[in-house]
Amino acid sequence: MNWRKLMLGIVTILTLACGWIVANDGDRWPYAFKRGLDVQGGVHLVLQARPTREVPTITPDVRERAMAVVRARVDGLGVAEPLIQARGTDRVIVDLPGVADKDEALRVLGTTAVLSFRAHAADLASAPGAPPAPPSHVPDWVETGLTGGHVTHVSVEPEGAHWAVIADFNAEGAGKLGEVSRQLVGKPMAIFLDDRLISAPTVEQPLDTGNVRIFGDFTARQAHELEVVLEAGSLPVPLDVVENRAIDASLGAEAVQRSVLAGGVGAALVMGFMAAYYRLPGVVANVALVVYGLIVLAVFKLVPITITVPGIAGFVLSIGMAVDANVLIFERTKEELAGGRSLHAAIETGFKRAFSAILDSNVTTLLACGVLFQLGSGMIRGFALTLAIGVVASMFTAIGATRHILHAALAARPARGQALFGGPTKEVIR
Amino acid sequence: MNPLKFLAPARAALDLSAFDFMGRRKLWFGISAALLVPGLVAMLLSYLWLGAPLRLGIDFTGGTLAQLTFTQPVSAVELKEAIARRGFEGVQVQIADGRTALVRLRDLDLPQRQRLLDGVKADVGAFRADRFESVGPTVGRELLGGALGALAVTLLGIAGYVSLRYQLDFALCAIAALIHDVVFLVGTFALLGLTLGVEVDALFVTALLTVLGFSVHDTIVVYDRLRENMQRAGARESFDEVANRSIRQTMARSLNTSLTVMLTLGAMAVLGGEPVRWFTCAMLLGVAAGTYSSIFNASQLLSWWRMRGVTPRKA
Repeated sequence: MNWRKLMLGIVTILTLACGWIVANDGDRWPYAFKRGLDVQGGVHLVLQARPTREVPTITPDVRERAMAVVRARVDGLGVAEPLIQARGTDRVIVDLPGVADKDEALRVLGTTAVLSFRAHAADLASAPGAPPAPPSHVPDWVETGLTGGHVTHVSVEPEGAHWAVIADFNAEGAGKLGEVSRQLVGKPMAIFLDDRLISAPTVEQPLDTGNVRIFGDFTARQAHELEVVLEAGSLPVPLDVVENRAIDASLGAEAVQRSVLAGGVGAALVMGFMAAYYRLPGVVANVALVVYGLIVLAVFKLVPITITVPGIAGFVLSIGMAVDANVLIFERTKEELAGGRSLHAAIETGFKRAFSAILDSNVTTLLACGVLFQLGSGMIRGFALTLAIGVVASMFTAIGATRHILHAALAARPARGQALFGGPTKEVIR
Repeated sequence: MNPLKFLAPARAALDLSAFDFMGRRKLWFGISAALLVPGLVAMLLSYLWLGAPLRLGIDFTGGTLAQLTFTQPVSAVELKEAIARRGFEGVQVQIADGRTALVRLRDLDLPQRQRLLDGVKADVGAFRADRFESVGPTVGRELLGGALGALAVTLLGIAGYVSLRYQLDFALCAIAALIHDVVFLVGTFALLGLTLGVEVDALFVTALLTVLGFSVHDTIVVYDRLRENMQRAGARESFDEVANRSIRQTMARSLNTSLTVMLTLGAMAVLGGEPVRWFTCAMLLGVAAGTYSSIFNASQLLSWWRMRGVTPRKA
């Protein structure tokens, strides 16, 4: 008997602890629920690496380098909890929850931003100091070999009505810059960004300072975005945006509110039914349901599990399913009582017999969750995870919490027997 | 005082302790047919009209779906023209409630997206982009393939699991009952796609798989009891009698579990958030179908299979 009281005590303390965890939000432990993209709004991008002539296959190394650049760009955006993941062999997934300026994020992540310095072929071939080649009708800029890959640091400065971008080069780049500019004194050197000509100033003197000032009539915002992008480094291969989703925060907030309300109503209906049909054991099951809910929510908060709108639906669904374990136990207990066992013995046998059946019946749901987790994107995974955690937790609270609460409740009014379990009379097992 | 006493007359009429679940199987199969046929017809029509048995959303076909909420009421024509003027063809616009517009067109890359949004702002007015989703065709095709693959894997996994725990004929009938549920759900959404324009997305597949997991467990409950009773019954009782008894004994549990799940799903479908409305409806329908097939189809199929001319074997 003492052991039973101990268990009941443990269950109570556990429940109170979970309740405290769920109720307390803040900057320190236990923090707040982690909210998904569809709840707080944000941007979701799927980037696919495109093979080029220089890089014909996307090896894991190439993809890793591309991801590093993406990460650096995202850092430049100042998003609180970005998520950057690899998918398949050549894709990168970027999630930016709560990003303030979605358009800016999309611009920064969507550009390839390959910076290159080009010159006319004729100018590169002619002697230093020779007059510039005559302008031709056909654009004939060729690479000088100096690219954004040689840039180590970028800063911006106001320049009259616009802004200029200053690029500092590494040792190799500085050397090359000096060499190229010496070759091109008096001739134009073109600065290209993504195959778009930004400017083509004439080189007045050799550039030995190791940096270049780029004027392109940039606004402050453009200069800043360019700074972020160039600082992050150039991508080894271009990344195509094959999927982009931007969701506003207002949509998510409303959906969450409604889902929570629906969950509350659903739980109330279930509890009402259980109490009406099973009477005292039904009330016990309801108490166990509250325990279950608090434990699961605390787990969501602590792991943390990212809360999405389908995830909330998964949790509400699991509330309906959590009762199933209790239903099974009660039905089995009724049968044991009808078979002539004493009340407490019937309960214990009911629990024992029910356990394998509960396990059995939840396996298929867990299988479906497993498949969904493999297949799905963030939202689907959110659902699969919350449902799976809910199902597993419901097995434990049914076996753990319900049993002890039931014993305790019946200890108070011992001799009620089968009538206590309510419901229509069942056929006796022959 | 049992608050459910008012149900007593109804319960007497459907005296469950003597209800013949097995004998009336033609009726149950008839009801199943009535439920499935409209859906199958809808799937066929959908295939002919839309190229797929369901109305597929952008998750699977690729394309762009945007929901824009304007500060002033706006007309579909005005919006459509503004977008077309920027060089985008094949645009469909639906106005939901005066200010909220749903825009559909082909998939867009980021510069195109910006051009479209800037154009709308300039020509039509200020708005808030509630959601703007663009999916490339390759990604869409992959997701569709992945969804079908997941469905196949789940069905096979379940088939394997049931044959492991029971025999092959039990497993086959359980799968048949499951397929009944899948066809019902898909058919219903084909119908909704044709009539209300409801599109099917990745969440629908999620609902489908969840329903599969739940429905087969309901069937297992009956089979578990059936097997237990078959072991105890011996040769003097017919399979149908044993099956009837098994169903009666497990009925309370099946119905109660389904009821509690449907209460929560029903609350979500009616009161829940907009993004998951159809998702929860799909699960609700699926659970209802699953419960029906577990009670009225699973064992009946098994009985029919066993009596097909083969000598009845013991479990």
